Amino acid sequence: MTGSPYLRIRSIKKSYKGAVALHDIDLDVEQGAFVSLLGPSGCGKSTLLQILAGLLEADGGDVQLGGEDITNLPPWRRNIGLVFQNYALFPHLSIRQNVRFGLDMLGMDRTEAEKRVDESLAMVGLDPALSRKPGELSGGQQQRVAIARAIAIRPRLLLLDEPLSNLDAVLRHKVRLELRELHDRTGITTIMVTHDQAEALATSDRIAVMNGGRILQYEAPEALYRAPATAFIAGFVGSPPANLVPLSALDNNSWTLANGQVWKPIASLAPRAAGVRAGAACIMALRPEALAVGVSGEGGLPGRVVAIEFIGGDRLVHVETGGTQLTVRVSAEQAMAGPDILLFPPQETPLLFDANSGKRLKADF
Amino acid sequence: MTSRFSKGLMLAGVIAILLFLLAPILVLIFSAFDGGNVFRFPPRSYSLRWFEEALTHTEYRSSLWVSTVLGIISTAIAVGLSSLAAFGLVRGKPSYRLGLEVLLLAPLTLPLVVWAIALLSIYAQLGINGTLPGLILAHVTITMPFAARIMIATFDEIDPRLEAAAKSLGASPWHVVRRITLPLAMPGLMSSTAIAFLVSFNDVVVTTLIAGAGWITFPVRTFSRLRTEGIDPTTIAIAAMIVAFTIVVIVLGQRLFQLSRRF
Repeated sequence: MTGSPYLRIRSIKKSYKGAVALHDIDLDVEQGAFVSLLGPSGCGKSTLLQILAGLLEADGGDVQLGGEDITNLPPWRRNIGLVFQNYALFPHLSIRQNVRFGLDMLGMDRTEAEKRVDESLAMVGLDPALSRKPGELSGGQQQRVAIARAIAIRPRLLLLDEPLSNLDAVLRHKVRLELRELHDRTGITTIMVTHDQAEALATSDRIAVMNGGRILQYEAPEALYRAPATAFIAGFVGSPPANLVPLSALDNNSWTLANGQVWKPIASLAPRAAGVRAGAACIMALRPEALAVGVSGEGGLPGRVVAIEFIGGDRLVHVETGGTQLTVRVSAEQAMAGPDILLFPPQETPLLFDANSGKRLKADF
Repeated sequence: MTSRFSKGLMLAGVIAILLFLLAPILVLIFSAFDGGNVFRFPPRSYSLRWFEEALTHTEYRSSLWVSTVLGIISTAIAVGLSSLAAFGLVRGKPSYRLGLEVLLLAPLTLPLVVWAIALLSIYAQLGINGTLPGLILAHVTITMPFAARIMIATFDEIDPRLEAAAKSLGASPWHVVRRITLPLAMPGLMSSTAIAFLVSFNDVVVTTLIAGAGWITFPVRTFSRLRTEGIDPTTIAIAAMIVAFTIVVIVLGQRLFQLSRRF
C-alpha cells in the first residue's frame, strides 16, 4: 500500500452556471475501503460521485484509479459499478436480464454469464430463479437487484448514491448492515454518498464530510465523532448531534452566554485552559450523551427543562440555557428534578471552535 | 339496489356515447353493401358490387397508392426528425427548450388553409409545387407537430438514470439507445407513427393546394368526386375496407404487444 493510493482524486473542480459545486477536491481511497461522502443536500457529494462515474465532466483536476488516469475515460470504459437511490432498474427487462446487462455488454459467453448472474443474485440474498420484471418487486428487493447488477461486472469501484434513502426505517437499518457485509465479502472498494450520518458512521472505514463543495474532514468514524474539525461537523455527527453553544470569553475563568448570562465552569473548561483571550467569540460543542444533569455543584450550566421526549431506554431532555436550547440524553430511569437544573459537561478538554471560522481551537490530546 | 340502478345508468350512458362515436362507421359499413346506384341509408338490397367497382377502378387504386406511399414516407421523415428533436430537447435541456417546443407546435395554431397558402407561395419560389418532394415536405410540416408532441412526452417519461446506469455497465451510447432508450420509447414511437400517418392520409386541404393535378391522394379524389358527382358509393366501399384493415392492424398489434409482454 505504499506509493499512490488505489483511488486518487486531485483538485477536482466543478461549477454550474457560475455557482461552484466543487472546490479543488482532493481525496485518497485505499483499495478495499468503504468510504462515505457525507453532507447535507447541495454539498457537492453527488456531483463528485457523478464525476467518478464519468457521467459528469469536471472543469479541472484528475482522477486515478489503480494507477490509471481515468479523468477522460467515458463511463462505459471505466468498469465502475453504480447504484442509484431509485435503483434505476430497466423496466422492460426481467430481473435476470437486468443483472446480465453488463455481462452482455462485455460480450461474455452465455453460460458463463448465466453462472455469474446466479452468483450475483445469491450474493445479495435473492433467489436466482426470479424471472419476474423489476416492477413486481418490493423496494428492498429492487435495491438488491440493483446491487447485484452493479457487482456482476466485478467493478473496480462501487459507487452507491443514497442507496438507503428510499427504504423504510426498519429495512434501512437491515440493508446498511448487509451492504457492509457484502463489501467485506467481495472486497470491492466502495464509495457511498449519504446525507445520513448514522448510516455513514455504521458502515464506513472512513468518512469524508462535505459542505459547500469542500471536504471538511476525512477521518475514521470514531475520530470524526471524538475530534470533529469544525463546529459544522460536531453539529452534524452523532444521534442526536452535538449541541452548539455560542459563548464569548468574559475573562480567564468565565464565559458569557448568548443571553448575557455569565457561566463559571470548572478550570478545564475555562477560557484560560483553552487559550482563549477575553472577548473572543467561540462555540462549544456539547454531546447530548456526555452531559450530566444535577441540581447542585461546582461549574454547572444553569438551565430550565422545556420538554422531555421518551425514546425507549433513554430520554431526550430539551433544556433552555443561556439563550440556547440544548438536548441532553439521559437514561430513562434517571429521575428528573426540575424544571431548573444544572448541566455538567465532561471534565476533559472541551470541543471549542472559533465562532467566525468554525475551526477547532485546540487540538485534542 | 341503488348501486345496481346507478350501474345500469352508467352502462346505458357508455353505450350511448359509443353509439354516438361509432354510428358514422356503422352507417358506412352497412351502406357499402347496398346494391343501389346512389348512397343511401339504411341499405335496401345487398350486394358486393361497390367493392368490385372499388378494386377495379384504376383512379381510386392509384390515389390510394399515392396516399399510402406519401403517408409512409412523410411519416418516416416526420417521426424520425421529431424523435431526434425531442431527444435533444429533453436530454440536452437547452435554455431555449420551451421556445423551440412552441415553435414545433406552431403549425397547429393556424387553420390548415392558411398554412397551405403560405406553403404554396414558398414552394412556388422553390419550384417544387406539384412535385412529390414538395408534397412530402408539406406533409412532414403538418405531421411534425403531432409526432414531436408525442415524442417529447415519451422521452420526458424515460428516467435519464436508466441510461446512466446502462453506461456504467459498459454500454456505449449506441448500445444505450438500442437496448434501453428505443425499447422504452417504443409505445410512444408507435403512437406517433400512427397519428402522423393518419394526419397525412386524411389531409385534403394542404394536399389539394400543393399537389396540383399530378399527385391525387384518396381523400382529395373522393372530395373532388363529391363536388362534381355527389357521393360515390365506391368511396364508401373503400372506406369500409380501410376500417376493416385498421381493425385487423389494431387486433394484430394488440396480439403482438401482449405476446412481446409475455416473453
